[in-house]
Amino acid sequence: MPTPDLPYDPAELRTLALSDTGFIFDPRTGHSYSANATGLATLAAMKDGLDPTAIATKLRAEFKGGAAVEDDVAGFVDLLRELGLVRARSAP
Amino acid sequence: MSVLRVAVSGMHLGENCQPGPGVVRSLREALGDRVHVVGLAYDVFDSGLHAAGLLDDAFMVPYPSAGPAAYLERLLKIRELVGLDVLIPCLDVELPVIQRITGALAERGIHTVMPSTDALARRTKDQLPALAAALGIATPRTITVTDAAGLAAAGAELGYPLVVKGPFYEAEVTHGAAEAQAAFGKLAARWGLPLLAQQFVKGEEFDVIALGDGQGGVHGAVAMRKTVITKMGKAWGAMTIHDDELLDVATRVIGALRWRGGCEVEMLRAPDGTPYLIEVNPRFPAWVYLATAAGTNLPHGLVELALGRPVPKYPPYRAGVFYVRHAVEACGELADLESLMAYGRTRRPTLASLPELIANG
Repeated sequence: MPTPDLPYDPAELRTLALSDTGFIFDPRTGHSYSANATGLATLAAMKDGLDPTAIATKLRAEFKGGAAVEDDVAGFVDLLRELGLVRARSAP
Repeated sequence: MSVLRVAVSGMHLGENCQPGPGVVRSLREALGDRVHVVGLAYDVFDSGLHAAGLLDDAFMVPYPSAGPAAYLERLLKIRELVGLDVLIPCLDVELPVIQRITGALAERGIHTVMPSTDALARRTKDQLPALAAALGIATPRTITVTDAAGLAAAGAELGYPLVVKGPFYEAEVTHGAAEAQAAFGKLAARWGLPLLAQQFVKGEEFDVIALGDGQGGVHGAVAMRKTVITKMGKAWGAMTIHDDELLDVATRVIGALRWRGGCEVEMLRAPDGTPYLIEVNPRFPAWVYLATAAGTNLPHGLVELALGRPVPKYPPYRAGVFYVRHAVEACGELADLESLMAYGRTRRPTLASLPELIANG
């Protein structure tokens, strides 16, 4: 379930168009991006309102990731902030 | 089936592309063979004159500097030859002249959609800061300059980079006093004085195209982000976007001006997200067909407005539609040039020959 304590606002991501091919389009800016399978799964989970811990658990199950998955998710969220796809939000 | 006869100017797709061809393409898409398009050109090498399949007919017209009487006389002659129902001027410099003859044109059944004189004046580059301030919209600080000393003072006040802009067209981003003075000399020679010195705002460039109803409302509007920008700052490629804030700025500007007709609102979005109003262009932009491709055919709406008919309600346009310009060589023969230079009319393969053109004027 989405919580108000997420370090990002899932609503900001819901306008993004995600394709199974990894093509991502932001209709607010016209910028497009490409993501690999893990990036796409992370974005989809963020759109669904999952918190970083839940996303890491999901990724670990789906992609057999190692111990550093939480760090990878945090880095991915930082990257989205740099790209302006999500705005900075205080971590809980 | 009645065929609508529409005259369109601004037919050159060169380094600085003009809107005419995009307008024509949009009209053909909406009206098919129910429209007969007459191109109006100022130069025999205007590319649209030689682009296959673009125009049904074309005529040379006098430069607007020849004055309203000469312009009216030529348009009436063209009407006499081929008939005209609607005139769509696509160049800024035509508007003050055509405004003065709209009544005479209307009396002869040639319909136009024009902004008011007041609206046209309030969106000029030197008046734009006042308009933006009244609406609470950010715009770069702008100083009118008439000489080298004024430019130097503006540079000292606004800092560098400094944008030096012509009154109608062209702008150069300069990075120091010497570069600014060189740009001043060049632009003043080309466009006359005064010029404008404008604070440089770094940011991504966005435009909104719209059709104003003259009552403060907007029939349709489409926002885009420039994706390929030429050295002249022109959009050689762009993509439609859904940005409510940019559309809101454009709608407020058009509403305040009670703009009637096509226009383009140019904006920059600064890194902090603030949209800056840069220019309001008083006609459709050269990229007008992008809006049509995204589902909002504004030239067709303008024709309906001109004829006093209801403008079709536009469905929401699609974001993510893009264009990239693709320049091709439009070829012609000596006879094409001869016809344009000697008779002021294009040589049409469907018309017989030059003697017929001579006979018809």
